[in-house]
Formats: sequence, structure tokens, C-alpha cells
Amino acid sequence: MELMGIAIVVLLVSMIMIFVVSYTAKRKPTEYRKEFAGTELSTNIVKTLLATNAPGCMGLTFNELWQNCAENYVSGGIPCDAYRDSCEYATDETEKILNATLNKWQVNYEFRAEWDEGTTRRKVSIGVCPKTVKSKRTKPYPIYTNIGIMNILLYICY
Amino acid sequence: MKKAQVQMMETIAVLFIFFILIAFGFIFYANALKGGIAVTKQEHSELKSIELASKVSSLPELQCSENNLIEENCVDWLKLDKASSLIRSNRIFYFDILGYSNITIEEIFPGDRTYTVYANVPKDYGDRLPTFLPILLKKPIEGGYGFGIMSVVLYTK
Repeated sequence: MELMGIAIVVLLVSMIMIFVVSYTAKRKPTEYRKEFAGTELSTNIVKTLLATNAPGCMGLTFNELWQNCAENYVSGGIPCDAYRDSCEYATDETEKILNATLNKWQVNYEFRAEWDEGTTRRKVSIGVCPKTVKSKRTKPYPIYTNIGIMNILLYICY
Repeated sequence: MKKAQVQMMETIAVLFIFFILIAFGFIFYANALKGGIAVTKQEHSELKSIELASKVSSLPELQCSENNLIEENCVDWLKLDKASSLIRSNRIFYFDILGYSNITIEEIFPGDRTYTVYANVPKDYGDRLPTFLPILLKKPIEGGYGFGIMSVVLYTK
């Protein structure tokens, strides 16, 4: 009888130990840095990029360049250099900046500038997030133009 | 008498197994606690890394200001050179704020210069936790802002 009692106690204690050890082994540290970096990076990178001045295009900010691009998408924006107007300059340099940062850290992204011109939906995209992966999007950053609001979005692909 | 002896032996055996079970229980508990402490230590290091990045981005030695108004997320390009030499000549004071870390500011656009603001890397370290922050680089002489990345690497033991 006592041996049966011991057997039951051993069984119970073993089950409790297995439960505790498996719970402790599965517990991962909360990745505060990853969460912070993801949130801060995507939000600040757009904000910082748009406030940056472009000495190669009359010292205008990227905000002003994208604004000019949206307002003159069909007719062509202000000429920045011999080969590029505001749209081309803003797209090229934005791509270079994002490649020198996000791509360098092996973070895939998709940058989008979207606006409506009458009934036509216009879009300028840099990079692409594959449909098979999840992506985290910044809040749309609005640029006010005389044809409406242009939204700047940055998707970080996971 | 024999029956009593057998019963006594049984009781001793039961107690012996009981104490062995308690010992095993303590060993498992100690290991589980050790694992929990390691997880907490990792979380603490990550929080410290974020705290350091926030501290550095608001250091008055680097911050931009205009008419006493502080500009967020901005480093004054003119201050950078002086800030590096100031920090180097007051290492003990800045060690209390910045600890074992490596702080660099890299200009991404329009130029490509890199400044090391603070470098204090220990010979042996356990974890290396880098954090990258996009910042504006104010150029008071040329006018306007450049795009830069502040890299804050925290070393833990």
C-alpha cells in the first residue's frame, strides 16, 4: 500500500517538474529592442528623410520635391539636374538612402508615394514586399499639395 | 519483533525516497530559476540599450537648437567634432552616462562622412546590442539638413 502511495507521489512530482521545466525552456525574453527598432526606425526614417535637404536640387527638402512631383506628375516637375526632374531625383535619391540604411541592415522594404489626381490613382513605389511575407506599415505621412493629399508609406517586410 | 523491524525498514525506505524526491525538486527549481534569471538579464540589457540610444539622441553636446528651442532627432554637424574631443577629455564623467558603448554618426546623404562620438569597448563582453536611429544632420554654415544614422552599440558583460 505504501509503495503504491510512493509511486503516485513520484508520478505527480515528475509531472509537475516536466511542466515547470518545459514552461521555463519555452519562455523567450521579450524583444524590447526589436520592437523599439521596428517602430522607431520606420516612423523616424520617413520623417527624417522628408526633412532632409537636397543640395543637388536647389536645396529643396524631399517633402517639397515629392510635393512638386505630385503637382506636376504629367507635365514634369522642376528640373533638378541635366537628366532628372523632381520626381526622378526624389525617387532615385530616396532609393539610395533606403538602400544605404534598410538594405544594408538586411531589412526589406517598400516605399510608396500615393495620391489621387482627379479620378486617377497615382503611385510611385520603391522596393517591394513579397506577398508571401508579413509587413509592418508606418502611419501614412501626408504631404499637402494643391491637388490633394499625397501619402507617404513605408512598409517593413518581415 | 521481526514484523516491527520490517515495518521500520519500510518507513525508512519511504523517508529515504521522499528526501531524494525533495532533492530532485530543489535541483530542478534551481535550474528553472537560473533560466528565468538569464531571460530577465537579456530583457534588462535590451531595455538598457534603448535607454542609452534615447540618452545619446538628447545629449546637449550634440543636439540642434534654434533660438533656444531644441530640435528633436537632430545632431548639429558643427558640434560633432568638438563633442568628440570634449567626451574624450572627460572620459570618466561620460563613462557614468554612456558606459561601455560605441557611438558613431554616419552621414548618408548628401555626403558620406563618419564620426566616432564615443568609443569604450571592453576587452571581454557578453552581448553586443546595436541600435540604429535615423537623425537629421544640421549644417548651420551651408544651411539645411542632411540625413544621417546614429549607431549606438551597447556592450554588456
